[in-house]
Amino acid sequence: MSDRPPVAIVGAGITGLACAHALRDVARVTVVDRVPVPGGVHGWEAAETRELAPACGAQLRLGETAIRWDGLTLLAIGQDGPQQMGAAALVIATGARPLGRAELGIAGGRPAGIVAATVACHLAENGLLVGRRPLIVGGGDWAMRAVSELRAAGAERATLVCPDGLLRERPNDGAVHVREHDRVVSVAGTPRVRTATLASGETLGCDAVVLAHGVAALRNVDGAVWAGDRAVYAQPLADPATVAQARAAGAEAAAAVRSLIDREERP
Amino acid sequence: MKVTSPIGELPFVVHGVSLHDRHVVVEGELGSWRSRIEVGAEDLPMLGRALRRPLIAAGLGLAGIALLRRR
Repeated sequence: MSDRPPVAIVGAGITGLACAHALRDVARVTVVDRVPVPGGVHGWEAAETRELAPACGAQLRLGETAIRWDGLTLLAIGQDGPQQMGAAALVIATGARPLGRAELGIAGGRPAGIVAATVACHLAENGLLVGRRPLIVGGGDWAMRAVSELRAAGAERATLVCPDGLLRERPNDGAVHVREHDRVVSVAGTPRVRTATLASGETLGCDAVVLAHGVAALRNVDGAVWAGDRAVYAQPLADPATVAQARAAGAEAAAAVRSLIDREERP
Repeated sequence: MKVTSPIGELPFVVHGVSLHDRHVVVEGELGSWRSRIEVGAEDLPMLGRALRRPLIAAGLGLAGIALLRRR
């Protein structure tokens, strides 16, 4: 079976592993992930990760960061330095992120203390608090996580600004104030953010702004940011992220890779 | 074994323990990253401080068990 074409997948979450599993009989699959364990946001101890990682039949290159795709080769850098791997197709399964400041249309200077919810939660889990009076933008899964993790890490109070009114649940916490159907239009403060002005005209004091609204595909492999040459995207944008949707996105990407390989092999 | 790090909780698998240049060397993998822990004589005061309370508690517990058995 050495004539099977090589396929590279960036992202060893459930989506990437499901894609590798679906391709195991038609391609030699290599899965690259910058984190040294599989599972992505679902974690290496999740039952699905433990099932899929050994069963997917792929070479797992964990702890390596994919840098660049030129349509034929993927450049990754890991503990052993830079490595190039040829591939007939590249699958981007690098997950999703909350919308950034520019995407949310938040004007003003560039004060410190404006962070994505993913970063804020990650820091909070490790005992680092982005602010004692954070203002959290969003009402979905990331916003709910940010509220609970920042409060657990020591935030004195938090304000939740939910732009689209799609609040997942009202936090049962007297120190969390909710502003529905409003959005942050600008921020101010030097060197750190001190105020945020809402579309309603009100200005709120804060020492951090946590961006937790919306979901966008996370793409950071140069050459495969937009629809690239032989690049397939497997990035479900559901909020909250579910294992079923991740598996479905992986299978869908595998079907796209199969048709790409078939097209290449046709005389 | 698990190690909590800035990128989350990672498994640590020990592959071997050896002695190099008066250092105890534990070789293993943190996820897929090759890792190495070295403990030398200079680390003993720190380890002693960290282990003082658990060692005292263990000693008192063992002494208590020994006394009860004698009775």
